[in-house]
Amino acid sequence: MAEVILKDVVKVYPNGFKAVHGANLEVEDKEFVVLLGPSGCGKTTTLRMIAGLEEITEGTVSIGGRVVNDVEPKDRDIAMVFQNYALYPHMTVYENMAFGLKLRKVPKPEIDKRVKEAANILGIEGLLDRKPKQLSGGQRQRVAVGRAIVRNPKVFLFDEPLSNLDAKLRTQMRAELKRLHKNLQATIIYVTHDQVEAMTMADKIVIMKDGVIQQIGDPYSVYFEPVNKFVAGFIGTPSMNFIGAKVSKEGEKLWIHKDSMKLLIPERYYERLAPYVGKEVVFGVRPENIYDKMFAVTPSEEFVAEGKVDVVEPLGSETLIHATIAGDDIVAKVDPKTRAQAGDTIDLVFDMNMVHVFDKETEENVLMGLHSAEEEPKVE
Amino acid sequence: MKKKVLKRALKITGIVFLLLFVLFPLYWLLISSLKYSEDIYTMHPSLFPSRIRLSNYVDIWKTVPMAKYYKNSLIVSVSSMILATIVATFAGYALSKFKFPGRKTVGVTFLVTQMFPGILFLLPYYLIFIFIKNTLGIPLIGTYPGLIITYTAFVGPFAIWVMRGYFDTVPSELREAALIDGCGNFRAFTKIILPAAKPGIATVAILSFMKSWNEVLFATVLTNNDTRTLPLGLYEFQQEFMTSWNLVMAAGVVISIPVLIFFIFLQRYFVSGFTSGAVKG
Repeated sequence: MAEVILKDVVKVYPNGFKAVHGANLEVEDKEFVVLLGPSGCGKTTTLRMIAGLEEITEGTVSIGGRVVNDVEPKDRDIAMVFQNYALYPHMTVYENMAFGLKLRKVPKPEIDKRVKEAANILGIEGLLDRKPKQLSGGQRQRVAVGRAIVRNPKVFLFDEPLSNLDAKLRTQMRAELKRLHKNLQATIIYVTHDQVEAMTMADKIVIMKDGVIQQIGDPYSVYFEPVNKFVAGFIGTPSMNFIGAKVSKEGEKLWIHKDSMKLLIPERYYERLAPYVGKEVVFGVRPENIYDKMFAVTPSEEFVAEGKVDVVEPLGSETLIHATIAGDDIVAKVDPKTRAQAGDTIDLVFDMNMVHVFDKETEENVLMGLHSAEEEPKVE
Repeated sequence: MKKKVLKRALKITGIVFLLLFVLFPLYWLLISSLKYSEDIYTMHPSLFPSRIRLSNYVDIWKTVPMAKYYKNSLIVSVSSMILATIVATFAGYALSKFKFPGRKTVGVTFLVTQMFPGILFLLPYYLIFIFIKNTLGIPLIGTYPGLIITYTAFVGPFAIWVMRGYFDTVPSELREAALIDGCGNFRAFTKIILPAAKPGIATVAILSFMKSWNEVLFATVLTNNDTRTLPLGLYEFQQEFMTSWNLVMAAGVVISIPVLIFFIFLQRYFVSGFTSGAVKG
């Protein structure tokens, strides 16, 4: 078993900067966990504390049931893939991969077998005699991964391993890493600032900001049930639209209201929104939950707002419309057959069952738990 | 197009001009070392001597005890090179990769020592050496250790500074990868960092060798007949009424050879981008 448990982990640098504020995290055996957040959020520091490259100021990190706070990196039974690969420049690919095994006094035939196996998995058999500088970025990346897998460690740590690759290669390596995880049945902790990587690969996403874990959950729950405005805005491209609006009450009905925009709130949200009647809130809606009225299935006037189109971006499979609604800029992902053009006025339909409302002060999601993923596909 | 050609022509002219500046004195040294004395003391010295005298290269060993000076110079220079390189490698690594209190101060102090002219230290050194001899009974003036210590101390700060700068370019991740792969701190240093830092070490080795090899000022004061070094030996070709310039030049050539050999041996490490491929780049 190789579960990793962080308990109230705090990191304070000698200059007084507090990089991680009491992180609690359980990574289960064979789980692919992604630490996600903008740069400077403490995700890399957290990973380095697990690796033993950074001292832990407070709290404990345990790997496989053993507290490793005072254990040297080499004795933690981990392998790490660095953002810049960190291949040993004076060694060939083979030597790079064999180095860790040699140090552990693994017999030569065994080393040979394991290196060749790993090279085979990664498709770098032909490169074993080359030096790192003779390799392309993608090949180096594979060697770095190979160096980790030959060791057969309890836990793999990845520190933004794909961020130096070009977009096409990144997509390809993403799928390869996911396949690798499935084949190796390994525990993986992966750091990235790219939410697409996180969404596509993770079993569990840990979203961090300013050294604080914001939310832990599988890709669907962080997408559909973000705990706060930060998570909601960070996950998803284009990111969620936020409109500062008011909750108003007319008769029995509640509305999201701002100037000319007035949208009917579904009844199941009433209970949660009751305390907010007459108050300012942040109204959040994802671009794909806004439709061009011409292509909406059941366009009801109560869900329609008028927008002024700024820019139209056709992407082929869909079209992005940048528009202004009641003074706020929003993006809508609409049917590619839309006839909207820059300067037009367009009727946009909001899928009010998928919208979010955030408290203006705390930025917390008021409707947390109400978007349970009945219609969404199940996670594999 | 025309502009491009002109630019190129100017560039080449500049390079040729600079090369002439550097190479002509060397050429002059070489041909003068092969001339007869009379051909040097002439109104119109020739660029291409009509006759050559190879025995200059034999005479230099007889006129002055060059062999002894050669040995002295080699002992002193090689020792101080080894010492300075070792110290600089460890100190440079520590200053570059480890955070400890006073790290900045130490680094700057090393740099500051380079701002004083060497001659400023001559007298204090001399007095300290005398003091050591008087109190501890260890003779330093006129001995190899005295000179080796002096040269090591002189080249040390600069060498440390260079090494530190070099280690700064070796990514910390290399060390960290080694730590995770199973190395302790020391093994990560010897197995991974040192090989990656070879070009830096080669540079420091050559610089410190040359510095002691060419040094004159301290050698005049801190050596005696037995420990005299080569640059001082050159002076001995000057006599009261006449200087055998052809011999001086021949000796000059002979003195330059070890440095040349050194460069040839180590120049492959100067090839830049040795660590390229270790990390993105």
